[in-house]
Amino acid sequence: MRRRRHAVRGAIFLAMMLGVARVAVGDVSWPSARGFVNDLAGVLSGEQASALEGIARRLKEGSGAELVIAIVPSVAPLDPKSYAVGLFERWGPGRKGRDDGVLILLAMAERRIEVEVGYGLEGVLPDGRVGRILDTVAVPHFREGRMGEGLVATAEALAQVVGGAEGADAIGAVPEEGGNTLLQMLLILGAMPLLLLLATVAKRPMLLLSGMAGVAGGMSLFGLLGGLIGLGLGLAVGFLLPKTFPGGSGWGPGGGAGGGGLGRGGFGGGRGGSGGFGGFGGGRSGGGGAGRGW
Amino acid sequence: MKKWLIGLGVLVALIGIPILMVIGAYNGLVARDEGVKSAWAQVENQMQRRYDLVPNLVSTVKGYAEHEKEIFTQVAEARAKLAGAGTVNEKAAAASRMEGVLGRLLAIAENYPQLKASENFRALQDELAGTENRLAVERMRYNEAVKDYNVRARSFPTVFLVRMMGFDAEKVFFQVADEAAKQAPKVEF
Repeated sequence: MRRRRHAVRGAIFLAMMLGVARVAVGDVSWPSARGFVNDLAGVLSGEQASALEGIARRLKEGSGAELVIAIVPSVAPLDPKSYAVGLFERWGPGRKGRDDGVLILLAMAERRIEVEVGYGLEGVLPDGRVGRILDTVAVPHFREGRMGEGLVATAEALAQVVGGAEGADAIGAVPEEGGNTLLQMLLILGAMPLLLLLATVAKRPMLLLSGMAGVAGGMSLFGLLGGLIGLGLGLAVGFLLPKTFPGGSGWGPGGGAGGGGLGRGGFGGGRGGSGGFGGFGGGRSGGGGAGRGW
Repeated sequence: MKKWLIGLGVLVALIGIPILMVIGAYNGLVARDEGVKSAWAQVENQMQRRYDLVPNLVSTVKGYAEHEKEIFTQVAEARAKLAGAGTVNEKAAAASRMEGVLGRLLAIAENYPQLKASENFRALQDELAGTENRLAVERMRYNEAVKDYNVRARSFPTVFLVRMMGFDAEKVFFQVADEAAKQAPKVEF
């Protein structure tokens, strides 16, 4: 009897450990995001789905915050909260740097709703507030089996709190970035004519090639300083190469690997396999929010 | 003239390649060192958050269950231990002790229906559950950062840098220390 209880406790503990560890290991098949509303369990009617879509869209336009809904048949082998954290990490709702995203997860088999709040919205949406919304809005509907209606009402309530907080703009400024990237671009742009000039004067066309390869390789590996050193190295190699022989194009490590991290257009560079649509802004969360069973 | 140039080129390459390697190794190490530090700061943030939450929770429970004196003393003790902890290991131990005591506090609260129904208590419970979740997440991310650092610090060219430049040979994982911690406060709804 005693032994059995021990075993059960051990198993629970193990499950807990695994639950956390699995997120890190990532041997769960994560669905990819299709948009603001992801009904993978076929729970919503078309009308409800577009109502949710509308709420998320209005919130995005009004405040910039991203509200995402995911309905999955089951979260096994994780527990719902770990799944929500993992899904948030992969989809990245909310703008990068502001982290103003919210994920509503419905785990149908587990009969549980989890709201995962991005770092930037923790002040506006404290756990207690989320819990209260779940108590008063979501759970009463869910208990009666009205999943879609409950979800729409919950999303509406959450969006109101987030949107009402003077846009998410009051929440936190985007940390500045790209100062270094600018310098790197300047280096690339500056190195080109310099190398061209050198190559012409020394009548060594390979100088241009090996020099640029050096810059690109050095920079992609070690940033700005690496780029400068790579330029020197590339030049040295260029002089070493025979004048006309067009083969052996310098040993530039990874030639085409230059301007990484430059393309940050429109939607902010969605992280981790979100096929089809543009992806979310790359916001982050850290386990904030609340959950309820029904 | 030409030989002179070739010689120079060889020299530059011979000096330049090792320099590039050292710079790369150094920068990689520094980035990971910072990664561990900022991940740890997040863990501490969440521990502080819980620390700040406790008095609120205690006073709410006290309002309904004043005579449960024993548990309140235990909470106060655990909180003091947490405040006095310095190293990663000490903090991990104090944090798990705190978790055990909070778990007991919540178990006691179960016996008071009025307390359970109070809106304030429910909100606090949510905050506590959220804090535990945050702590779990940040702890996991911290351990990932530590692993990342340790692997780098022990791998080939970097290992010499670590010794020469006084980097930590390895960082300490945040391990849940004693039995009590393994039963983190279960906050269920």
